[in-house]
Amino acid sequence: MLLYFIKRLLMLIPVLFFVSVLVFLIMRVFSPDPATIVLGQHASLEKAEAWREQMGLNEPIITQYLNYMNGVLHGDFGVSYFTNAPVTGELLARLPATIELAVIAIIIASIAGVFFGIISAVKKNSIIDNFTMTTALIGVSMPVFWLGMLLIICFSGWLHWVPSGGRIDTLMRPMGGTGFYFYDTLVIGDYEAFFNALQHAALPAITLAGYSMAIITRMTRSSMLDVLHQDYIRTARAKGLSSWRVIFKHAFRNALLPIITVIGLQFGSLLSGAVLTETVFAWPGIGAYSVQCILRSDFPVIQGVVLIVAFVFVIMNLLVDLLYAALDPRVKYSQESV
Amino acid sequence: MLLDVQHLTTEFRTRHGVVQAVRDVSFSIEKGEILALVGESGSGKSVTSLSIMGLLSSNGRISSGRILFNGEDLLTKSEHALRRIRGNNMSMIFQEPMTSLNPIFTVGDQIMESIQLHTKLTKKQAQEKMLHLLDLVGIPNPSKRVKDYPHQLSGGMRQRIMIAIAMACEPQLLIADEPTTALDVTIQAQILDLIYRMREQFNISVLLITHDLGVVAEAADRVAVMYCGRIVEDGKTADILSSPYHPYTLGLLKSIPRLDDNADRLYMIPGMVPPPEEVPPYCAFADRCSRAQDACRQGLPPFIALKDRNVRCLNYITEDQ
Amino acid sequence: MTDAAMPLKVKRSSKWADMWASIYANKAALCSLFFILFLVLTAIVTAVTQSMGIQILPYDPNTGDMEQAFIAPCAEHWFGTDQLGRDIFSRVIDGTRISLSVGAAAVSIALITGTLLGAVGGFFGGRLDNLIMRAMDVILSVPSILLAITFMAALGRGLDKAVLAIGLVSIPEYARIARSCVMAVKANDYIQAARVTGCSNLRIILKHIVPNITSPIVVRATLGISSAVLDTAALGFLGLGVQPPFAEWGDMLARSRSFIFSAPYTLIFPGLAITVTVLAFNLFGDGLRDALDPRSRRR
Repeated sequence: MLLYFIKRLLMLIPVLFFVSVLVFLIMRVFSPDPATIVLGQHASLEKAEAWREQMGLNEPIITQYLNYMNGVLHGDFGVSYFTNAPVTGELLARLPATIELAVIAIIIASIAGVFFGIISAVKKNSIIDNFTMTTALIGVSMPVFWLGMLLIICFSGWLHWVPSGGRIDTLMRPMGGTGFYFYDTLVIGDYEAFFNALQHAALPAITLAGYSMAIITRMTRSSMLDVLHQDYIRTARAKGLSSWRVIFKHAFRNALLPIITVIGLQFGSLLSGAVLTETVFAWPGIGAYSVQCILRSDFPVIQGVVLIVAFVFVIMNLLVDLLYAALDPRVKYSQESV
Repeated sequence: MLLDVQHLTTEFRTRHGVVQAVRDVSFSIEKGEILALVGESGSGKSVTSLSIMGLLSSNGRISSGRILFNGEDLLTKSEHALRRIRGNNMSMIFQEPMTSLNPIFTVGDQIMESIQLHTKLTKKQAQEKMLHLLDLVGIPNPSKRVKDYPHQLSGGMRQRIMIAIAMACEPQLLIADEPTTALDVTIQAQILDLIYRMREQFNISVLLITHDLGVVAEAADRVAVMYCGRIVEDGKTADILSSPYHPYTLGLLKSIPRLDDNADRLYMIPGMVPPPEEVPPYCAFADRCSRAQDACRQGLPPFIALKDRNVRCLNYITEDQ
Repeated sequence: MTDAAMPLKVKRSSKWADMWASIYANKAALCSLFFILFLVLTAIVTAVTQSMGIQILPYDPNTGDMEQAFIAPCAEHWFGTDQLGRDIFSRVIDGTRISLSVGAAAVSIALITGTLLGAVGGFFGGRLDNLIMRAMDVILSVPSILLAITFMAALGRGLDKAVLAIGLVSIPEYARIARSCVMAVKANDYIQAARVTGCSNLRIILKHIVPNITSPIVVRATLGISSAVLDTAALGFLGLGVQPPFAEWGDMLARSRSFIFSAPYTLIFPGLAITVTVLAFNLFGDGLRDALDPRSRRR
């Protein structure tokens, strides 16, 4: 198991290496001269030249890449073209907000998706099933940001239940701490602030969860239907087990494998869905920040964001594979032809 | 009489409308008796067994008849009451040992589940019982094998595990649905022998479902032949195998390959089994039968009771023919 | 139940006739098909009339009258007017053209490039295949919309670049499908036989492989258009798509955001247009998959 894990971990290195090359190339080769973007069309040639020299853009491209990667491996993603602040710091400050949102969203999506998927499969072709499947289909067809805006219109515009944006009321923001507000507020015992943060997070989390929930529901249903037709389910029923035990112990445990794969993949797409959701809800995370940076062509920041997300994405995929191997006795690490 | 099935009719909702898979089927099994229910695929024999177990798929339903088990009608019992009978007083093994065991639990877990569901044994007692069962069904080195997952065992071994699960609570009735079809010939004989031994040892009754009127049916005391959802002939195994009365039974017997037979080609009954939605309202075999007369297509032949058997044929074969 | 009996019972009909029968029986897919045809027709008609200088829409979608800003839906303005007094109904209809053409163009790029790469890799195997598939893995290891955004950030704004970005990031899907189809077909005995009898590679590809990979690729492309339409709207929403004043659904939503409480109707209809269009392609794609691949129909 440990050997398999190490092997898989080592396999990630070339993938991440090529991702970094790809992103670097996109940013440095396809893009126009950043100096004209940052300094404006009319900046003097000397000024532009001085800026390029300062940013190290006059070096050969290979040297630039090596310098950049050397920094990345030491946790330094360069400096922002605009603020000259280190990218690492800018991202670290905003990471907790994004992670908090993504984690809540994936929890909502997984629990609700699995629940509705199982009901749908067990009560196949019933009204509940048709309703769930129709809702799920609309869910995957709806733009995330539109769903977010509809929720704002409804729950903050009309009903005034929750605020329409931000993470927490400014006065309640916990000072210092980890940046994870749910954790920070609970640690200092400020339940009012905790509840306030919860209210702020409700709509963005539901918005972000929506698409993944629909995907997970559909996957759970089809996986459960596959399993419910298997011979061993008939064996379990022939033993005299109650239908709930058949469904949860014998069917769901088997159906879980593809569901876990989908949940893992969804976590990756949640991180990119965060770009849109955070923009809609003015959520001060990496997503909203990277949109600002894209609009003003702040390439070092974008590069950093993409590398971090790709890293998280491949790690999630690895975790899913490992979980898969742990849950399914038929998967043998040693025989894996990797 | 342990099991008495009376006028059982089972139907399914399908794309072709409601079709009957089992039509007015009656038979009974005495204590300690092995009854073979023989027929081609699609004849309704598996549906009959699932009807008795109460395990029909959700589009299936028993539309009429009674299933008396120990004198009590199973069809009037609640699902809860049925669950206490299933796997306890009456258990079942299936055709595909490769897929009938849950791949993510060890075989030990799967046997224990049955024992603990229906008995009040402590975990330790249940484990002892499990090891004893595995020994009984001929699994070498049981204490090691219980930790294996199904994919680590051969087909024959898995079928033995299935039998161990079925025997876990010493049932009165064992339903074996094509228990040897998916296995190698040598293993087939071992599994049949095992079922036979179980009957001897525990005096259980066995409903043996098979398409094989040869080796498998020979293990039974009595044979009932099904065709298109109906029983067309039943009687003592020896009688039926030596002198079939129904032309269909004869056809089945003739199509068994035999070593001592030096015919050039295997006999085949002409035509094929009509799909359930196209079964004619007269003798379903008439269109494939060389002995058919006009009367055979006038209406359903009655079940004629003769001295050593029942046969559903107007022009049955008599011994002197 | 009686598999052996089936071929004799079923009348031999062409694959296409079967497909149509199956789609015809699937009411949702059929309605979606009609709706898609209607959208395509709308797009063509608006494009043609605009190039000829004929105004077929009730109002000019791109010029407004500030005096007429923020009129709620009424008889004159079915969907109301936006902050610049432009008729939202006309803009939503006009937006069909952009969304569909971007979707179709992006899918075409991905389909042609991806299928070629996958088929070549699958057919020739070896190092070439390995190289192509590793490249696809790299693209797949970044979530697709994020990669598209990155492309856009580097390439700059504009619809043509959006097409390119969306197309590029969905290449791997087609490459994987094409590759696995080609490998499956290649393993068949009749292909081996064709090779032995001296058929050229090109002939094998045209005669045996192309017909076999058509159905999965067509299904994927139909569903691909729906995600391309969604991605286009997302890029538009982030301000990376069209340049003003042109009407694009995502861009319309972005510009209405400031008026979310004062004039919610300005963002109901563009969003509805995206959702209904995507839904239609999804439903039709699902129906097409069921029609072309009977195995998926069982449930």
